[in-house]
Amino acid sequence: MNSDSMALVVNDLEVEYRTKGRARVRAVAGVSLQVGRGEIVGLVGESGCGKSTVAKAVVGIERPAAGEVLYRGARVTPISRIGKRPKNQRNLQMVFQEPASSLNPRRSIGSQVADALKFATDLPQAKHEERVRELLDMVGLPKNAHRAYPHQFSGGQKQRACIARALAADPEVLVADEAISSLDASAQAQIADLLVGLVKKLDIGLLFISHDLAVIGEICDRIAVMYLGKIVELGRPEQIWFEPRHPYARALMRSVPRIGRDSFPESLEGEVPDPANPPSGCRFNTRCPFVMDKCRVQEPALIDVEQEDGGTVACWLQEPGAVVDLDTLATEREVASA
Amino acid sequence: MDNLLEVKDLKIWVAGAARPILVVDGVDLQVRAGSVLGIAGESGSGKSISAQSLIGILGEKFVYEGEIRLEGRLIGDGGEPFAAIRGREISMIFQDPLNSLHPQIQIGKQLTEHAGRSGQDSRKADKRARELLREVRIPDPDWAMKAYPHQFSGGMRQRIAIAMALVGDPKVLIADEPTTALDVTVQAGVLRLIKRLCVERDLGVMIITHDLGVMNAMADDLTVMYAGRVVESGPATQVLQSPRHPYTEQLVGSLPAGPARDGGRARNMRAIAGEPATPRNRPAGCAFHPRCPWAEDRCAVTVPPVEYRGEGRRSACLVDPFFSVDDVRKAAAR
Amino acid sequence: MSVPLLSRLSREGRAPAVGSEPTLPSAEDLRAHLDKQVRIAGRGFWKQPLAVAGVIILGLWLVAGVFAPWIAPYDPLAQDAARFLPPGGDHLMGTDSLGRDVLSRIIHGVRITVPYAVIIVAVSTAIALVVGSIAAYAGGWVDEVLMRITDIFLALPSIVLAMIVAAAIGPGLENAVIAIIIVAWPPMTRIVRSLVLSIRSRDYVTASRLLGASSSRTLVVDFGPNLIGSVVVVAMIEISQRILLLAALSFLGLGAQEPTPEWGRMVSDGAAILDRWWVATFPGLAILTVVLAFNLIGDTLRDTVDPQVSKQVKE
Repeated sequence: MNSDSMALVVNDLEVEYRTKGRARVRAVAGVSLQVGRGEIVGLVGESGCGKSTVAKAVVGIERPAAGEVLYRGARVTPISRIGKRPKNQRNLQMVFQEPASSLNPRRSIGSQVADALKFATDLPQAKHEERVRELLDMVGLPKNAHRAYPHQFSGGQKQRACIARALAADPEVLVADEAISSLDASAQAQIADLLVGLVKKLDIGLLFISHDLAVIGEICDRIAVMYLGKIVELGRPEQIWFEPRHPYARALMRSVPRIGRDSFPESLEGEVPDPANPPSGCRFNTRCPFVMDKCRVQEPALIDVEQEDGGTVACWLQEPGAVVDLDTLATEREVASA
Repeated sequence: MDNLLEVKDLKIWVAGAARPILVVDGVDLQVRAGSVLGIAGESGSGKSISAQSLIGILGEKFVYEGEIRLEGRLIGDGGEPFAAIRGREISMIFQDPLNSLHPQIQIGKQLTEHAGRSGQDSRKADKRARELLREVRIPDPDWAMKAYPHQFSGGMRQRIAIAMALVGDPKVLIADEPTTALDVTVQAGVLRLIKRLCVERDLGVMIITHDLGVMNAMADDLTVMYAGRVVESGPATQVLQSPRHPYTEQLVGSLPAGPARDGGRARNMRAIAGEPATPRNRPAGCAFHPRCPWAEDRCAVTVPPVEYRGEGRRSACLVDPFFSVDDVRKAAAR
Repeated sequence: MSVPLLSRLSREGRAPAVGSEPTLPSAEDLRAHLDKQVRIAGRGFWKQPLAVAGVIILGLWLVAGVFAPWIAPYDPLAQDAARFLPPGGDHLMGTDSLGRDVLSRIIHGVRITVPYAVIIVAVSTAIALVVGSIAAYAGGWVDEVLMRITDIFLALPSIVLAMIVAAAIGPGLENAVIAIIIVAWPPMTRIVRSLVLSIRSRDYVTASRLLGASSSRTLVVDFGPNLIGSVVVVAMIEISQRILLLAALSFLGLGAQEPTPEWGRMVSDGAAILDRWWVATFPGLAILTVVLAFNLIGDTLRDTVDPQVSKQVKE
């Protein structure tokens, strides 16, 4: 895929937090990603891995320390405290985790969706009401929803309203940060369905950020697995799901409890290191079951290991043209130790 | 096997704006020693409230009715007071471990607090606290005794909360969404711990969660609740793999299953139409009927009773669409 | 013996269910009891007896104040009766050291206390809205400087600070009002700042900014309506505080001067002559009832102003 044609390109993004009296924390330490139109890219990782910070930096809520975010070829500028967001970026939209706090409780749903039309599009005022109804209908809300207030809606319905507001800006790329995580199972499926449908129907790109591997595996076209501020593996869902190449991706897969799985979910030893003070070498080396001496010293780069696969991995076990199957390796080790 | 904890026809009302609302409507539960009972349901299903009623920590706005028996003895209403049972015979852990840990007291002090008050030898209590920390796999118990809750990660804190729940040597452990706030790689460890304690201590465990994947790993028996009522119960694997109630079937079907091996999407996530019913606006008849693909006219009128379906399974559905002739034959042959 | 879990639970007020009582009412009784509780708790502002009481008390005082010249039996400044007449007869609340009718002075006193208290709170709230919003919204060193300034004011007890200021600019009712405004804006500013901060961290504000709304529009549309309710509530409670402070300054001789019929001043006149109890007691009661009325209204408003709660009321 040609990166010029991509709607959203993230190059070597780094984001730092400065906390009072403490060292700088590099929450995101060099992330590169591309999202094309009509494509869903999943970003998965555990809490504190920096995935939400990536989302914020992509839309400009967070200021990158290094690297760049290109939206339709133009650099995304961080939103300043005062002043307005540049017009050409207003249709790079985000859906937040908590539907309850992403809608103003004292304003009707309709007026909040109309805001998007007013600020981010050139649609004449006269046509706003009609368009609002159209959008609310598109996300599956009842006919009179525009007059309703957020508290009259369930969590799933609120999230639909938020999606309608984001769609009103006519986005080419939508960023969804844990957009279904706070919802009940049945509402999760509804909203996931809605998002998948909209991506295909409107040909928009979706950067879908979640801690839930099963959901990510289900709806995404490509998945990036993040650990401690870096992407450790990127690939097609079925490859990451069934033949993960990075030990962390494998551990993540094996820890998810699922119906129809006979083995008990496996836990990962140890704790996630402090991002302010990451380990030298590979960031996963403190918890990796396959750790080698080299891993503690040198940091592996994200490399293509197989031609025409599109997948990349950052692990010293993997070399171009010689992919090591981690399950086989684990079995061999067990046999050797026994 | 005898039931350790048995709940019959549990009803719970909560003060609503205009009238009391029946949030739990006639729930039966049985917890056996050395096995895990799972209670699954979405928010508003009444699963957490039911659990809270069993140790008497419902708020002032709640009233319950029903029979709660621990090893045959009536507890709560008309029986032994909850205060005498709670923390000793029945313990509970919560989604947020800080519910049971004091933020400004050392872990060791918290673990030995009750021993000191009952005049036990403090050195013995100290030793026992260390044993408990070892039992829940806290690395370096000596350091942990002197540490404060904020010095531990979420997973470790939950383990300490479990140790705290074990102080009174309970017979029943109720775990309300114990791993919902944890990362998956950490969750697996805590689940494994609970399972191990259940077997080693012959504990009756009741686990409440919305996550059916967790249920699959943990539960021996499973009860599924919807809008305050039990819709289905039975051995967990069977309930999850061949559900008998349309709601269970739809709920399982709405879960993501990940990608298919050939690269196609498994598209398991079939959304259930409509919004979940809540006790506040529970539809007449079967509460699930407005969302049920199999619903018939009578479902809107009659509340389906929970009926025995053979092989330890029960479900509350008038239509019973997953009834199979094979099952009947198998049952008859036995 | 007890277990930590238990102690923590009871500390959080989650009392054991009704079931643990030794003698038990029947489930029917409990349901009836709940019904009643609910009917009280779920009522709107106008259905809360305490709130209505507050409104009635305040309403009576306001009517008395507006129509004071017609209602008051005597001229509040006229010294034509005998000194220290006890309550009863022609003078329902007796007369003071100069032979003025206490009741008439109290009725005329509303015209001083309530309007000045409202002015104090209105002005200090306006200052607080501006300063607090700027501090919260601008953040950084601006916030730092503004908050350090409020800290200086907050370092002294408000009564002491008000006394210092009033003494410095000279005694008198107007000066006392200025002194109280100077005392009143810093705590209010703190409240406004924290309200703005909490609203700013909500996603809908970020969402607005992402759509391209200007920061000033966000302030008006997203902050305004969400701020106003809380600020009104705080202001209501604040008024009662300021009435007390105004009375206190007058009591100390730093506020209203003779012959103004200000309640604090009147209490101070009677304080030295406790055997003539009516001179101090009646104005004291007046202060008490007005303060109580504002408090009752403010408290109830705080409970009903949340949209979540008002939604339940409609059901």
